[in-house]
Amino acid sequence: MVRRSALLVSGFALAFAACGDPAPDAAIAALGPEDTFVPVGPLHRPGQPCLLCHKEGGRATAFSLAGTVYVNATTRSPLANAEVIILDSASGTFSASTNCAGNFFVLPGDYAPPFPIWLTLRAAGVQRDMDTPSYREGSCGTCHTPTIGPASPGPVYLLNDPTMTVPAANQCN
Amino acid sequence: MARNKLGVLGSMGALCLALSLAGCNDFSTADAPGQLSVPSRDDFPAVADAMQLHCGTLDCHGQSGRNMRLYGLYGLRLDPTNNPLGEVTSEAEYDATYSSIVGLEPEVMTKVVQHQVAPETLTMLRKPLGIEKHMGGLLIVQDDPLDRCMVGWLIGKFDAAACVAVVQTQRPEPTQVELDASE
Repeated sequence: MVRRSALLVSGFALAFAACGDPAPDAAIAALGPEDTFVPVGPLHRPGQPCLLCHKEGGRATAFSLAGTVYVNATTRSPLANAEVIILDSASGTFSASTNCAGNFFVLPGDYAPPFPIWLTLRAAGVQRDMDTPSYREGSCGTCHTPTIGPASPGPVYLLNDPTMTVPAANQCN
Repeated sequence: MARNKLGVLGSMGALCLALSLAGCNDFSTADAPGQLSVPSRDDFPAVADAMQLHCGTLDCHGQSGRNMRLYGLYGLRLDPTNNPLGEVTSEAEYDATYSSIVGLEPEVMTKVVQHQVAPETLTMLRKPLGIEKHMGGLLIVQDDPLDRCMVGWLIGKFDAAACVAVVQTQRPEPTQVELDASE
């Protein structure tokens, strides 16, 4: 009897351990493997929807907001040292900086904004406001996919004018 | 024997009656196709524009997988060659959004349009008003411009000024003091 109960408990434990969340699991798998030249850390997977993994109960340290900023719409040059200013629905503000990969992230312990939030980029004397608020999404990359299409305005970038330049980012050496 | 048969039949009848009553709702007057009522399509573009920035962003109802699906500028586009920051909202997009909204709860909407129940009976108002759980949070306060815009349209008292007021609402900007404090 005891043996049967133990088997049953083990069965349940195994069943639950095997359970994932199929939709996010598929979305994560679709992102593909890591870039072999970039170690897992603050510089990895630029442009991807960070909070697929970086969420409460997720595979990696939870973020409340995260994303990647590029110099302009046409190149894939990361914009380093840009200021990402977040204004939330309770009139709170928070500022994060992009690293040399253009990535930024906010830890929930530092700031967990009440949505909706409005985002502004500032760098090299240029300011660019996001056209719409975000009502629930903490990953820029969920809506700002690498390619422009009917459901995405493309990547996040600072400069509308492709002839303008900003100081070159160091190449994450 | 005949008595037993009658008893069984009686029990079955009572069960059927109970089951059919349990399956009933109170939308009997609007159940038949052809008796459904919808709010004005002509006034809808102003309502859709007002809803777009509050409901139709790409992280909410600007997604193809949503039942209530909004198309237009700053959100999901119907034309696969268009993008959220491209052309202004097209008539085809207003049509698609209109179909999505009036098709959500047609019987309830009929009752709202016919003034038989309160507009807040509709899920599309219960959720943003916070009456029902909503992932997008509280988006409407009763009698604010968006509420007046949507409700006015639903009950046939279209309030164009309220819809315009929603669209013209300025994006909030952090003050310099707040920016300095965040640095």
